[in-house]
Amino acid sequence: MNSFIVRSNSWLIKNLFSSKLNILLSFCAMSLTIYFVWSLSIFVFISADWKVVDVNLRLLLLGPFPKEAEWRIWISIFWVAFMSGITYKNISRFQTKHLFNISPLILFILFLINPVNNIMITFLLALSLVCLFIGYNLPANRIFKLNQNTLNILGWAITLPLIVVFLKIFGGVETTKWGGYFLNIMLAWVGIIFGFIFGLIFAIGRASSLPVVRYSCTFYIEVIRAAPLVAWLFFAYLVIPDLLPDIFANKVDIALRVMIVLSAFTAAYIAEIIRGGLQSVAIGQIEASKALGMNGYQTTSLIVLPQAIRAVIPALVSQFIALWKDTTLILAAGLAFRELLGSGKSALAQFEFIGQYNEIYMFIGLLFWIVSFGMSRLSFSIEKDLGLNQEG
Amino acid sequence: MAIIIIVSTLLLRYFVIKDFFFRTNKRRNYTLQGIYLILLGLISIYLFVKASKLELGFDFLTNEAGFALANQWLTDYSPTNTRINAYLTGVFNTIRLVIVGIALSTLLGVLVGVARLSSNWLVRKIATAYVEVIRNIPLLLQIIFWWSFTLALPTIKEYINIFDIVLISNRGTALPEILFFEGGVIIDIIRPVVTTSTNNVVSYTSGFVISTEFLAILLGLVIYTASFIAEIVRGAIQALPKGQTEAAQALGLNSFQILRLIILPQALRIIIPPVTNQYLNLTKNSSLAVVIGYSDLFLVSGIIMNKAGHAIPMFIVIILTYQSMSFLISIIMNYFNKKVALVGN
Repeated sequence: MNSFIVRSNSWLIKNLFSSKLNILLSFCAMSLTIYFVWSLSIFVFISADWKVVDVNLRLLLLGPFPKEAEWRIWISIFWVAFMSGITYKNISRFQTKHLFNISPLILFILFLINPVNNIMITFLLALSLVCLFIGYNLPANRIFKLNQNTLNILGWAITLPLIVVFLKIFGGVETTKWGGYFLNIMLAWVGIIFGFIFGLIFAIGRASSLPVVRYSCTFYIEVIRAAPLVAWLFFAYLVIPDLLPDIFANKVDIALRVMIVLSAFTAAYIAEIIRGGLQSVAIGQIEASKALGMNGYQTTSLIVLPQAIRAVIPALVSQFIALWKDTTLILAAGLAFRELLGSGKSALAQFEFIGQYNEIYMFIGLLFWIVSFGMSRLSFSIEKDLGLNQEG
Repeated sequence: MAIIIIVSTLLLRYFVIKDFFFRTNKRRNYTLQGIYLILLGLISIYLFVKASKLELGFDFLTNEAGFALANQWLTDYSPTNTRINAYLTGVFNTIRLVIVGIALSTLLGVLVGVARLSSNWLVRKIATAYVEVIRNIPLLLQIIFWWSFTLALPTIKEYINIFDIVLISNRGTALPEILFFEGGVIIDIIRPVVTTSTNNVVSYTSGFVISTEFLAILLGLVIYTASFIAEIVRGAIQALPKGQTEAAQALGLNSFQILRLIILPQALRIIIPPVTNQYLNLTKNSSLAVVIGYSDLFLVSGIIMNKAGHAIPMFIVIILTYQSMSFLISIIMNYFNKKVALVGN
């Protein structure tokens, strides 16, 4: 006991009260913390009226999505939970610390269960947890006779098309009816996948030895990066229908236009990031692969790209996080399309909830924060696994 | 479309033509580029034909604007002026926002970045929490939140008075106005005053008044960008060899001197390129002012497009404006970068 006091005392002296300046800083910081935590907890537990979130939860999460078609989303959630189970088993081979990475997810689910008080939803959420455990415990690689890694990549690759199929078969739901948090997730997902693919192509194009290819890729990248994303969304809204052939013009609805713009915009930034990675690959690597008799395609795909992408994973993930946050910009571009923030604003326009912006914005902020923070933690652990993190 | 062509050219290059068509690299490359160029040309012609059915001239900019703008700086704009004047007002508003935003976010960012490495446990944790929370929440949400916050401030009749120096209300924030003599000598400082006129209209009558929209967008941009700059500063300081600090301690410098004389000058070399990127992001993010009605260049051009159409020429103007602002920032930052770079590099 005595030694504990001595130890904690020495900890306090070392970390908080080592000098006069530190004592002053500690007291300022402590009063700031106490004030902030106090007023925040007063707000969250006493003064806030969470009814606005409770009543509008469906609007915030799904927007105008038709109620009778909700099963489509539940099937998608089950599938994603199943895949998460498989992946979780793969990444957590020998370590339990990765549990920390999916803890935001579990927190999120707990948070959702609490305010709803709906037996059906709780049951379905429990079912998705069951799917997660099935995915975790199923010897899927033995059933499909596949390598665990291949299974993962294959599974996640078909996830997005599968979800689109779930949303479209048997009548389906029009994209104009998509909304809320679900829409943000779909937009970010599509943007990340297509942005990455096209970004890769543009990066290779920009590093090409053919001047025409190089200059046209550079031109594209620089023009896209010149204007802010809001401007491009606005541009897509106004101009794309006029520029497309008449047969397509009617088919390209707002959701598709937004997806095109998000992918095209992200592609330009990702191309720049990957270009940095390409430049970091030592020239000796390329020469060595040529000496081994590899052709240009083999050199790029087997030698250069793996090293280049590995070097820029942190930057890539922060670009994905930026895209995730940028899905809110549809609101700024004035598109008639209700993603999470737009839904929040329309919830605030309801007569009985006018002025309760603190509650709504805090809830929306939390929903965005969970995903961004989870992604940044995931990138951190990937960096660590690959040995990229030099800080230790 | 261009993407499909690049893909198909690459495929063509690798699978068909390589062993089949041409034997030498040079001829193959020229042919491929020729095909690529022709396809690109066809697409450009198609786009041009499509676009030429729209309005492409720039003369709509010289017409009368016909709308009022709330915020003005350096320009003397009225609705009877031309659309160019309106646009320039927006440009100046953006420039004002960007300059103040860059200055404040650098200050806050460096402060938080240093605080993240403080020897004081509590300060370190607060800085970490700030960065982790702010960085992961969309900027647009933050701007809208600050806007609601500034609108919920007390009315001008019950303004908050901080030592007669800053007056805060939902009509704006008033700071003391500093009058300069020629040659930069301060001749007078006018305190902000709120007065009630004879017909019961309460307003700021003196002082330098910052509008609510400007304050909201500035708060949003500064707090958001500072969290990114803080991470850059932290990374740069951590990248310095530990021996630098130890040597400075051995010389008897105190911690503030170590920071100012040893750490920051060296860290600046690593900091400047990524921070330049953040400044460019801030410039582009300033277009989010459109959601809260601060009349920056994007809001003004949006109004012009709504009133007059002409989306394509207006977009060319927008892109050129943002690009030249980015270019200017890059030039200035490159100048600084050269100044702090190691001699011989």
